[in-house]
Amino acid sequence: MEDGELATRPATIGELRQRLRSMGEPWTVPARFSDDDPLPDLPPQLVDPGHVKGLRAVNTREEFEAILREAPPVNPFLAARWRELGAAVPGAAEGTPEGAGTPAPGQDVPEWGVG
Amino acid sequence: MSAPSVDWRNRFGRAWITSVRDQDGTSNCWAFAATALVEAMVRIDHFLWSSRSEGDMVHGVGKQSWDFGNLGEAITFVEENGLADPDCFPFGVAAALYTAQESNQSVTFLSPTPDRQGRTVRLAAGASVSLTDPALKKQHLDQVGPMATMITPPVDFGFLGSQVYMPTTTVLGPAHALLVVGYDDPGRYWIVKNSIGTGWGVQGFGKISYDANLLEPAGFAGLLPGTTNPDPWCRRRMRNGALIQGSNGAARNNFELFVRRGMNIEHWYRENSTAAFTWNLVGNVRSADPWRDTFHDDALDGAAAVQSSFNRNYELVYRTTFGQMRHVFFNQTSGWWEDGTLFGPGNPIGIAGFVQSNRGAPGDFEAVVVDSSGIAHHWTKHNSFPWTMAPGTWYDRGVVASNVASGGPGLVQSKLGRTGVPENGTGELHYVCAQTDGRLHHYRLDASGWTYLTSFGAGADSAPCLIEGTYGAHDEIGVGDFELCVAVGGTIEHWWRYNAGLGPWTRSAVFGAGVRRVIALIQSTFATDLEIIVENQNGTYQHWWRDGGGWHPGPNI
Repeated sequence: MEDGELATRPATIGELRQRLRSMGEPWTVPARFSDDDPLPDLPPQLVDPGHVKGLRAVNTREEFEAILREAPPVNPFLAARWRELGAAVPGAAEGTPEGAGTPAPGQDVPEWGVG
Repeated sequence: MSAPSVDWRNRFGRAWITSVRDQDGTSNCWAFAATALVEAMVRIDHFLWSSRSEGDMVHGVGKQSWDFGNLGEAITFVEENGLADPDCFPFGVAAALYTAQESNQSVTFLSPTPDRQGRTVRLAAGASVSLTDPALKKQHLDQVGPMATMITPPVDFGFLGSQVYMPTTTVLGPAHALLVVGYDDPGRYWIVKNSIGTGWGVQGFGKISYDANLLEPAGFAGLLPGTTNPDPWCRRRMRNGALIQGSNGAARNNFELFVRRGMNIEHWYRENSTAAFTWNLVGNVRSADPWRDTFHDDALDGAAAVQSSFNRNYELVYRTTFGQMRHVFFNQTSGWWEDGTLFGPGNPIGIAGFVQSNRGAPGDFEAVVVDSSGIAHHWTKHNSFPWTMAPGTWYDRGVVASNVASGGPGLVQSKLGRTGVPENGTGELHYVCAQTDGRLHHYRLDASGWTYLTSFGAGADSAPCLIEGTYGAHDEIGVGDFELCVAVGGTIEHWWRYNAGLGPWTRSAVFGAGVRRVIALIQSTFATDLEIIVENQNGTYQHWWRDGGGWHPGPNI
């Protein structure tokens, strides 16, 4: 990529593809776009700095972990992950995370196994 | 220390992220990201696929399709008002009013359906956090779940195909919200779910290089574990019979059970947030209002229960000494049990098949009641305008089957036959019953009426219990398998049917002894375990559950 090119916008998909080639093709443009397609001329807009306004802002690990201690996971897989990390997880889990949801041989089609 | 890589599209061997949507040129990316966050956390907290409406959020916040918004106001809206499903208020209305709708008006999609209060996913107060430290964001992604964010990407961002995004220009496009579903430290990228259809990235998901420095400075919004409170409407296919998994208790997942003892229906609950899993008696189903004390000591058989979209009320039907079925309901506002009405054919037997269906909004109540001559009748209580019957009236919709041995909770509102999302009243009712030949017979109600589909099994001497679970579905759109349990000669048989491929019924397990009948079946939030309540031949009730290790006997209740 030429110096200063980064500060300009590619005018077309073909120009975008050319830039990607010059960068070693870190990513691809879907084939449905033709080289002649223009990139839309969208007005720039800054991120609203208040886009998470109203939510509890957490800035330190100590603060975050104190909050998490008050809200342990109910998901048994996550509870197992927390225990792996050394966190105490109160509450109940019916069955074992390792076994739960793994139907016995010849039983149900697992939900993650169907495309 | 956070995991080196996390991808909630497939973590712990399961899928946790709902389908990719298309904001269709609107400025509502913020609502799509926040809705995707709520759906993902419902799935993680409760193992439940839930379809929520971006339109409910956009218009509930008071905005239109062309309005920008932010994640803070979106999540605050859900904390204060819940988030409804697309059949309550869909996305796609260009300029919609969002006002309370009179119950005698037709559904116009200019306002949510009258039962919105009972069909929203609720959030606990203080459910959300915002993080800016990349290490904390990864910790949250690892230990809690996906997070929503808003970035200002360069103008080439919308053209990402496969591989890892790096900007080719510093010229920025408009701000855009995304759901971050994972990260990969070895590959140095974040994984995001976009909302511009499945043509972006790989099936709508993309990878963004750490070196792009797009997500690192952005605020991430997340929901804390266990703070989602799903509505019974999105659980309705996963349960049947006398047992409900509601939202009471610290983990918002207690079991509520209704069993007959003598001539009364007793309400029990199991506290699911403590390891003891104790069952506790609430009391008899009877009005506390002396002026409405019209039903008690009249139960001839067990109850079929529904937690309805009417403010999450419990609705029961049971065979009564008055020669018909009785409908009673627990009013969550007043805290009283109230009398619905008597309905159905004379001389009923067994337990009714009972669901709240897709027809109308609020959905109709549908019951299949077997009479003493073995005829299974379909009755409906029409719950919404236009009133083809007087409001509150149950009416006969014809015969489902004959030669039925006994009535049971075998009626399901299936996703099969739906035309899409919103479901718009489409979808089939399915009913399975044990007939006098000892086989289980499967019927379907579609536009042409009730039709016989198939029969399976042998020696069934009790009515089965049927659900449409989530096995076989990999997102909120997919059709899950039918799961069925039935007592045969004192043992319990578990059968299932692969619905996505309309496969045959297959028996997967035989267990237990001394069982008279199965009165409830649910797929629970315990990692999609199956749970049943059986009535034993000695008159006791017992809980059984199945995890990856098979079926386990629980305590007598």
